[in-house]
Amino acid sequence: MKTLIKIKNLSHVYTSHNENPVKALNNIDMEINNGDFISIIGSNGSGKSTLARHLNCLLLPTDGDIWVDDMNTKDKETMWKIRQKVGMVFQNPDNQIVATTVEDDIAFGLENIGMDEKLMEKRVEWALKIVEMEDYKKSEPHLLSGGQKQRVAIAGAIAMNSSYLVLDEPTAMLDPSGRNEVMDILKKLNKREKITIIFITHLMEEAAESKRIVVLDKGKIFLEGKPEEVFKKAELLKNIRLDIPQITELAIKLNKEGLNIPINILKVDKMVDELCLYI
Amino acid sequence: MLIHLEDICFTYSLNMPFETEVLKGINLEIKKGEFVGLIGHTGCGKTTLIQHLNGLIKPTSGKVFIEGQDINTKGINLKKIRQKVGLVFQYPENQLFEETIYKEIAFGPQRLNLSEKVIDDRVREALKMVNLDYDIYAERSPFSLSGGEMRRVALASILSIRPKVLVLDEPTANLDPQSRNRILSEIKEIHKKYGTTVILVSHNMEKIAEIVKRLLVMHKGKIIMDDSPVNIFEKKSKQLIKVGLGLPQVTKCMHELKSKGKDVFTGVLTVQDARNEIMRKVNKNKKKQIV
Repeated sequence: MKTLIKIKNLSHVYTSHNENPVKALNNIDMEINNGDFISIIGSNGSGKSTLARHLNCLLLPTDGDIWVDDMNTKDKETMWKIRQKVGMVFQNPDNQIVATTVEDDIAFGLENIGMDEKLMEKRVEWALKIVEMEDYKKSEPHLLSGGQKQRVAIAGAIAMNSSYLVLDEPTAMLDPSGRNEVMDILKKLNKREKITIIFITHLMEEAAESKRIVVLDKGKIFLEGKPEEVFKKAELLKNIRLDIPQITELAIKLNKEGLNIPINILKVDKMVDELCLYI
Repeated sequence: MLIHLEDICFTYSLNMPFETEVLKGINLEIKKGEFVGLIGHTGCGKTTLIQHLNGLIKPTSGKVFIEGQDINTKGINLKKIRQKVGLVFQYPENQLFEETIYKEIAFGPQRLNLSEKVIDDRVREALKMVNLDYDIYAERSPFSLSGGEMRRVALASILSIRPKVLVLDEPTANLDPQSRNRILSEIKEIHKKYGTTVILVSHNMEKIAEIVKRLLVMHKGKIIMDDSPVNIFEKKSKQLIKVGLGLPQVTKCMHELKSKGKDVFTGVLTVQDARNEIMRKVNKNKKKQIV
């Protein structure tokens, strides 16, 4: 596996004239490999969004460096190249849709980089197909559901041929079915299109779906590992205002009662299989 | 009856090309002191419905009664109605505007022409209700707070009006798990201690079902279920999933066990409930084996 995003000693300090400077990120070291699906979790104010915004030059480090495919984000010359490589999707779908039809919205980024029209059409078709929105090509974005809007936003990012997709709480405003739609698309993008996903969420059940979890607390990396490893540490997570998935909590409780159920269960079906041995 | 909705229909952009029927004949009664959850898929009409409760929106047809008073008749004092029914919108922190937290929370009572002393009492009380220390917070700017704190200040600024009904639209959206639990337990406490009637709107089943006593499920402009969370989770899980609402993981777990032929009770709301039910079953099996 090749390391493609490298973060070294990254710190970020927000300064404003009438308040004390806030150190949002404090000496972060991290590597993101090709094909990763990383969830970043942490309580409000832990630095998740600040970190995400560094990945495509929306913010620049106060200290330290970030390289995306060997390009330093501080280098003005390569800034636009990095932004093309690293697509961003934000929380509120209504704030990121710009055009009056779905296909125009997806083409917006491509038009900006002056892509040939024929090629552009092809890319829009491709992106729409991946997010399963090809039937809505001519629809007006404001008539779509929240989950559909987020899928359009994702299509807009991947149409640029991004290798990385950074999503800052893309499901926060969606209902359960919208959330599932987005999660399914992300898993597909990661598996089939080999797009590296960096996914910020407050929902532990969603983080459990990723390959690796990075837990931030007060601007530092607090824990890091596979979901099964991270959620085992329920007490530690609770100390920094986080939770664990319900099913993992249930496993821990049943363990205390003497049932021999692994305490790193994340999925309902696995729990059901385990329980069938007992009841 | 505290709140009584009679056949409420509402259509946006009536007689226009984009006419959309949002509410289709809603009948609902809520008694004083109830703790009600209102859930539904995005776009099902939840927010539109609650905006009817204090006259922010007038129904296209149908009537809204608050304490027996039809609030959409001529000459009604809507200010009084809004004092009775306090609405906390989605992302209420976006509505903060004052220089200090004190002024923010005093804003409502000040409009009610209360004396300085009474206003001061109410600010203190409201801050206490949301567990913010008066001495630390009163003179701070609301904009220097964390997301969870800002939301609690916004909630306090409604509480200071002392509404009889507190309606909260997605009060926990975007908060981290601990702030989420905290604000919910504060709401629960307010309900218990002050007898405030609470209507909690959300599309997140997990936490809501745990704290409310009555759950209303909306779908496409109609109330399709009105029952206790236990009954809904036990008997209507398929329908819930069909209308785009998920089940909490532990409830799903029990339903899957049941579908595998295990005789378990599926109306579980919390991890603790699930644990109890599973242990009950395990112990029963043990006894059987011994016999």
